Amino acid sequence: MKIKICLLLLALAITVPGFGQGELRFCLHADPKTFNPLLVDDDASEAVRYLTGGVLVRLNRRTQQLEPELATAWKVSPDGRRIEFTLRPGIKFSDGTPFGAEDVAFTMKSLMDPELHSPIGDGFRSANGDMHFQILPKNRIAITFPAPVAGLDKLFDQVSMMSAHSPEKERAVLGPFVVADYKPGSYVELKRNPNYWKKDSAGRHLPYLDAVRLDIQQNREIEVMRFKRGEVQLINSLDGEYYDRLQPQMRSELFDSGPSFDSEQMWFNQSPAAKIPEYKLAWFRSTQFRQAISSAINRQDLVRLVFNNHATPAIGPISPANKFWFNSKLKPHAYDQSAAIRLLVKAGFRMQGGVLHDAQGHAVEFSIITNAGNQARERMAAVIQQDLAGIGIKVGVVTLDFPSLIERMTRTFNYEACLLGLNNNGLDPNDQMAVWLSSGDNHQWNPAQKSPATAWEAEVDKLMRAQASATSATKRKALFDKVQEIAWEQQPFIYLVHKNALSAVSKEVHGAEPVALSPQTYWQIEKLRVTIERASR
Amino acid sequence: MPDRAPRLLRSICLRLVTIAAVVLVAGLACATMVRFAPGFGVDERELDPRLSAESIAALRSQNAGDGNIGHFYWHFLAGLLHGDLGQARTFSQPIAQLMKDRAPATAQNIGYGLALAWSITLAAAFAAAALQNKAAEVLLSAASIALLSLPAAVVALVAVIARKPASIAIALALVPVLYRYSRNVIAKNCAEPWIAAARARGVSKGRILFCHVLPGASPQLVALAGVSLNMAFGAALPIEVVADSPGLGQLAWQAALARDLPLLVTVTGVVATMTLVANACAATVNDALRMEHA
Repeated sequence: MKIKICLLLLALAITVPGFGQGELRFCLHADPKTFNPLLVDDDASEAVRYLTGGVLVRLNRRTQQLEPELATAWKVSPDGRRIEFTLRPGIKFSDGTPFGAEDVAFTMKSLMDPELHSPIGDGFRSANGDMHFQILPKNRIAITFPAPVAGLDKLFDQVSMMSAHSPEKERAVLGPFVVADYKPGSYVELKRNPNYWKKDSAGRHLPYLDAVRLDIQQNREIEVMRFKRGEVQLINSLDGEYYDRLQPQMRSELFDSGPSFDSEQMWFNQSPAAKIPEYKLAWFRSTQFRQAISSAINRQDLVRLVFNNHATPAIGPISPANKFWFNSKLKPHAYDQSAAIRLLVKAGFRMQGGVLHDAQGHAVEFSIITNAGNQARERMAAVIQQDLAGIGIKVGVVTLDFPSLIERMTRTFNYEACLLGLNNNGLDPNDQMAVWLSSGDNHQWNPAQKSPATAWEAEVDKLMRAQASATSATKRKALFDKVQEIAWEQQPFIYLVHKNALSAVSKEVHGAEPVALSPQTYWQIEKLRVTIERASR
Repeated sequence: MPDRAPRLLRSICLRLVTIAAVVLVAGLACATMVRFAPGFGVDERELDPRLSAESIAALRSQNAGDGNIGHFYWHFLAGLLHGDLGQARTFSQPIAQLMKDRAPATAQNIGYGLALAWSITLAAAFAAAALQNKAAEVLLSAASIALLSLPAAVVALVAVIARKPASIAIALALVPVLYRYSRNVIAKNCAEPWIAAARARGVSKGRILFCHVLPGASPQLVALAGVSLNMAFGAALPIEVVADSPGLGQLAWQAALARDLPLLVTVTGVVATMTLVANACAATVNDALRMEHA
């Protein structure tokens, strides 16, 4: 009888479509540089960290609000220097070591090691001085920083907890999966963490999946081909071109989640160290010149021709996808070549035989550098070239490989204009501190200034510092809104578009809700399932 | 006859010394070219706006460490003597480990690729020689020219679309070159008077090919075998990149893009050693054959 029941169940399992605890497959585009969650500074390692690391609080990628994870509650002090967590009891690392307040202290101490030079650690470093830990009764811990840290609680979304006592060190994790195997250049195999604490509403242990296989696939073309063949089931960040190519056959498996957090922008080199003639520097430092260039570029054309409508014209540094920080009062930059010419005439330029000349009679021409191999940017540069020809400006386009481009931007300053993108992984404007402070190394148009070169940059410095030390979110928003207004007016960066967050999720995957914020498709990995057919393939 | 062995030994020693010298010079030349390439010493992470000024300064000083070529190369060689190849900046891993991880994939790609390429080549060259058929020869030549005109990367892409391994692409990249040369060598040997004499005496085609033509053509074919290893390495680089095969070719490409000096010098050294050793082996076999004939 028992045998009959077993056979019946087996037959049902084979014939009835349902959900299994199979393996999910998708691609990383490079080898992870590290499996130590505190050292992560590349996309591949970040993906592994997200899938294996346990955090105190997690940012819900859809609502953009923090949710409890290993901490059931948290409280930031009014002065923004202290945060107190109440830890979930009974949690164990993947190797069985218990998790507690000591582990939180150990993780934070390791993260803040000045020799580590971790981007996550740098986010907490608002002033010199040591952190203090207070292990409190009832599974609580308080961390006090030497100065207020803006958006303190949200920073913990990136901090994967490590064990202070486990002999497995960083291999002992608190996330839904553990690293089971890694073959360099080929794959990373993750297996379900047997001690993962989360359960679903029916009391079933999460994650549903048994394993995640991350194939290392640098070639995007092959990734798309493998998705079509069913060999991989997710594509996290899809190019518009591939999206359109897949659309006729796989419409229901493609997702356009609207504008992403990343921006595409161009800027002029205004550095005094720039290896360009003085008269050109004078153009680039002219606000009216930059505004005119911005007006003369048709952003809708960029969206339509370059991104096949999978992009949104950009207004400023913050994408409309960022629900809290985007300044919705800013108007879109209008495309108006007549207005651009009027601005240029006002700034002393004149049109002569269809060619724009400055007050000294120099024909206005410049070159834009961008990174070679990025087809979208190469096409954007071509559209900009054509748009600016309409106001008598001759533009040359130079494509360089990435190291050469960075060398020109950061060392030799041997360029006139640059077209590049900024990847925004975080929501908080503090992540862009080094971009907006005039002393910042990433203040691309004129980096590492000893004192602000212009009055508006001095104002931006003041506002950025003020928002970083303010503790009220509303006050910080008001201050950063002003920064966005100045950026809109002065246009040190001419923001062009925000690419849409495009992704692909196979029909075999259930429970995915793609969003704009990274990781777009697997942000709720523990709730994803694959169909039995796929699981047994 | 009795001094054959010492002569052979002397020639092997001389070749080993030459190989060591060439590898050292190749490594230094590679290091110099990388050092003076635009973009040397920069790191993509410098553009991460989350990093503090101190972290960016630390990154820059870490990357500037290899700036002095003489200093770098001296330390690299000293490390090499102790079995330490240094650390690959691109992968944050010891280079020795990376080479150990990646070499099997390339060895497999090249090994299978060469075996397949030589099988096709010899079969086609012997078939052409045996058939003596104008139409077959035109067909084989046309196929070889068509393959020759395709860049290795395109062949790799075709292999990827057809879901074939990288070794097939390497074989297809080698076959046209090997075929044309082998075909010419075999045809030249077929035209020798003793072959005509053998034919006139009614010796079978197979016997003529394997007992008379092949021994005559073997010195050139052995030399070509040595060269084919170099060609296979050359083809493996773009093919492994396009086919995403995790071998030394892909590693070299990534190292070049990131200007990873120690990794590039190591890969150059390994490839140079392999090619020179293959050539030296072919030359030594030829020397031995020549001495045998003498």
